Amino acid sequence: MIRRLFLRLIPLTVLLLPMALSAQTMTYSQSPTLDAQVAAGTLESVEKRLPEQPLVVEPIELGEYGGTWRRLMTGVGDDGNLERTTSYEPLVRWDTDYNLVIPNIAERWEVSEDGREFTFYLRPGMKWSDGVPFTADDIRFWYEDVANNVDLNPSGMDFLQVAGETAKFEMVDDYTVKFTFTEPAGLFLSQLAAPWGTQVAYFARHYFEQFHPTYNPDVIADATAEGFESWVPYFQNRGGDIYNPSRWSPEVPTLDPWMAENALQSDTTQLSLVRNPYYWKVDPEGRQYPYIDQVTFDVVPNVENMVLRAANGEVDMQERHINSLDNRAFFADNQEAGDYHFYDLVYTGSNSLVIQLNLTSRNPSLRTIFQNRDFRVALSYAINRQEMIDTLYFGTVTAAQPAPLPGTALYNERLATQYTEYNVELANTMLDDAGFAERDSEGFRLDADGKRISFVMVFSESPVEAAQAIEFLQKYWREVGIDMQPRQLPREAFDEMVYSNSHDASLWSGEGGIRPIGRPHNYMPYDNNAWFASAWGTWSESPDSPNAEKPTNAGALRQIELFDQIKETADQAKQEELMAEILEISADEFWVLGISVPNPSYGIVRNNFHNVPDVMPMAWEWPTPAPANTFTFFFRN
Amino acid sequence: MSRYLLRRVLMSLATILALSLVTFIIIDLPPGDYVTTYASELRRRGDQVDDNTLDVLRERYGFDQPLLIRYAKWMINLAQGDFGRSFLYNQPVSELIGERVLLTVIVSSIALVFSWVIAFPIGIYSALHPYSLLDTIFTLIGFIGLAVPNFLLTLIVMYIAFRYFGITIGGLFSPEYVNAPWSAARVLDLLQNLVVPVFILSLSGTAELIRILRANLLDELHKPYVMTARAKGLSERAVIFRHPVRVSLNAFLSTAGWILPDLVSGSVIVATILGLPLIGPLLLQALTVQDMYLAGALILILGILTIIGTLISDLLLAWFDPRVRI
Repeated sequence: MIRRLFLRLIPLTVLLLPMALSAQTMTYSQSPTLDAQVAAGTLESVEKRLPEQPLVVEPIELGEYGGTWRRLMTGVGDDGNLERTTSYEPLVRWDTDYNLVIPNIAERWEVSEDGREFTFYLRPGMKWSDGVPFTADDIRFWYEDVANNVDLNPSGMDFLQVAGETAKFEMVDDYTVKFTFTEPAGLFLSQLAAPWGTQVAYFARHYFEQFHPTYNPDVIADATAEGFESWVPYFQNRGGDIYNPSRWSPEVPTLDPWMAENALQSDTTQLSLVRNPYYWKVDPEGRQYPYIDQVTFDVVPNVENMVLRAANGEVDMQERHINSLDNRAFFADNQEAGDYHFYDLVYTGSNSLVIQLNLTSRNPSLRTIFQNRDFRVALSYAINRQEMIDTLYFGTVTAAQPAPLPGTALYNERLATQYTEYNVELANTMLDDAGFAERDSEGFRLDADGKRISFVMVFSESPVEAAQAIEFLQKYWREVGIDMQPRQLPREAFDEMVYSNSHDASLWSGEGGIRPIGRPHNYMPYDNNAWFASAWGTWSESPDSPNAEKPTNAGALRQIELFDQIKETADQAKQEELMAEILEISADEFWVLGISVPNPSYGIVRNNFHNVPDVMPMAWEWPTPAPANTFTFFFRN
Repeated sequence: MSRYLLRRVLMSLATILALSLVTFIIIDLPPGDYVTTYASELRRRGDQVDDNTLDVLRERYGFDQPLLIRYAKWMINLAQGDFGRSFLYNQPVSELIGERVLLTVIVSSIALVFSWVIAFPIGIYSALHPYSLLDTIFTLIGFIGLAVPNFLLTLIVMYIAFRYFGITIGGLFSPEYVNAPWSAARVLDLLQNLVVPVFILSLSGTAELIRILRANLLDELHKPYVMTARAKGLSERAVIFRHPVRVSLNAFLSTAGWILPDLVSGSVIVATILGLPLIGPLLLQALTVQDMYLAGALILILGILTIIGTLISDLLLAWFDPRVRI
């Protein structure tokens, strides 16, 4: 009995440990590179730079200070590379396993019983990289003057809105902020923890106000003098947009572990970021993060060149751009010479390839055919998944339909595995029975009007193997008398088609394999990303859009209703229960077809570079690798 | 001669104007516009993009106006020296291209001079000693240079450098000079890093010039006027250089006009692979994302270079070869 009680207490102690460590008794220390500045009096002491309660982060192993982390980027357009490496500092963040939302800039938070009020407590004494205090007023500046400024964000901020109403904001005191929604906002915390949530605490008012008309009456004149047609591009060009590369500039104050030493511009050949002396996190011994002094990004527009440099040991840790399946053998061959090893990345998508027949196609004949569930099942039976897996993924993955991944809480075996066997005979029988027994002289099946069943399947750049995969599909479906015409489009043209419901069918990578609630559009007509029924998805999101159509399918309507309930509850267990119900309906309806579970990917890391997890998720919501705590990475000398 | 000059210059101006219109229309042809690209980028990052936002953006960038009006505005601004603003970089186009034009001109002209210096003696030697051992070797190298696409050659050179010398090629500066201010050491570093790109960029041009010069000179060598010159008792050197070489230089001069834009556009892929901050990669990217004004300005500059180049070579030819002037 006592032993059992003891066992129960263990998790509690573990939870209390970080709090105990962050107590005032902790003594703080800093990187030796800062000692000279402190001694000379040009920089405050580490105690004064840190907040009263710095965030204590447990690293995989305690590290050493120093070194330059070398990475590569393709150019100004590759700013996502930086967001993923050095700039993931939201109010609340994802833990390293992508399971829980944990404190970050906010040391704690409270959610009201009804799930409508969110109160965040900031860290008194926390400072921007230029030494100016970070307070609730900075968040107010973002809320009032950026997120809800009609010039900067004409439609407001998506994640602040529930049921079309924008959350109200209140600055309770200098270190407390409160968001109040009119309806329960069940997904607000996970939205704040996503990369787009970082903007909440991105705007240092004392810097950005000089580019904003509310604070600077002369801003229009300033903008004109600088050659801008209005204050909006001027504001954005001075760092006022988290997706604008100009945010990496020495002038822009930051809360990130490293700050830009030079500006990222079109002619930049190397972006260098150096230690932020005011970074507000420490290791369990009170040593201020980050361990690494400097991060450099060499601009290399060509991927082959990147691969060579990485294989030559000129990159310390990277996955982006270089980790195609084809390159893996080359990297393995040069492992010893380049002095690096691999780490694994687990894709968080629902499937390697998602085949979506548009149930709301503008072509009435195809619409009727695609809405016939037996037709979709027959096409699934007609696919020889093992052959595709052997060719495209070297046999490394198992056949599956788009579904939450095995081992996750919401895994649904029926949804994941139904109709994955290869059975041409059964496919033919089902198509015959579904009323498509008549064939033309070339052996293609005819629709009710006696016309050949023929449709165009569009695809673009993701995943890279789509072009190869679609030829397999064309061949398999040809064998059962269905004529599919592949068409590759540039990303922009592809988007034009699928978001305006102008496509017959599409092929794309899967989403929502680990957190289906965050990206549910492979499972239900959630929004206009649900390309298996674009018009229904658009209706679910914005019923007034010209492309919107109310679903005619009871299952789809029920799913939308259930998801509305998810949005209205802040109780995570309840949300998962509802999502499980939605996924049951997905299994009943069998909206989309897939090939296999996503193929794992990899990155390479130099052997003297430590604290990189052996396995980490690969996602944008969990912006790989930043939530793996890049500030704890270090070089062992 | 002056009438000829005037006619040529006027024609060039008309061509530039026509070129600018065609450029603008072609860039506008693909479906969507920069706002579509921008929206794709936002969606890729998980933001929701609604029609209202897109409309506001279209209005801000002026995409809601008809093509011809946008073209007229562009031309009026252009006449005042304003190239417009790049959407992608949110920077004035003139600022973006200014810094790259200089490097492009440096790299291109070094490559041009390099290819002439190499091609000229080899071409003459090959013509004077046809089917000799050296001629065969040069011909072989020349054909390889002509047949292997630049980008493939770049990749091969990069791989060989990596595989056998353990070095990686790319960029115009070594790491320690990348962000350093200009100095003698930095110029030296630039020159060292230029060796490989200049070699690759000039190789196919060199090969082409060798072939042209060799063929032309071989034709000329057996013409009666060469025999006359020899009969007059001129030295062999004077015979060759004063007459047939001069005639076969026509080929050099008439292609000079093409070499200018060729080096810039031919360097697009090479510069992209090697990561050189030249005009080429900028143009490629601008076209991909439909950054209208940036792409428009670059294509216009390339066009103007071609036209100026052609004009220069026409004038040179006219001065050089009286038969052209008629």
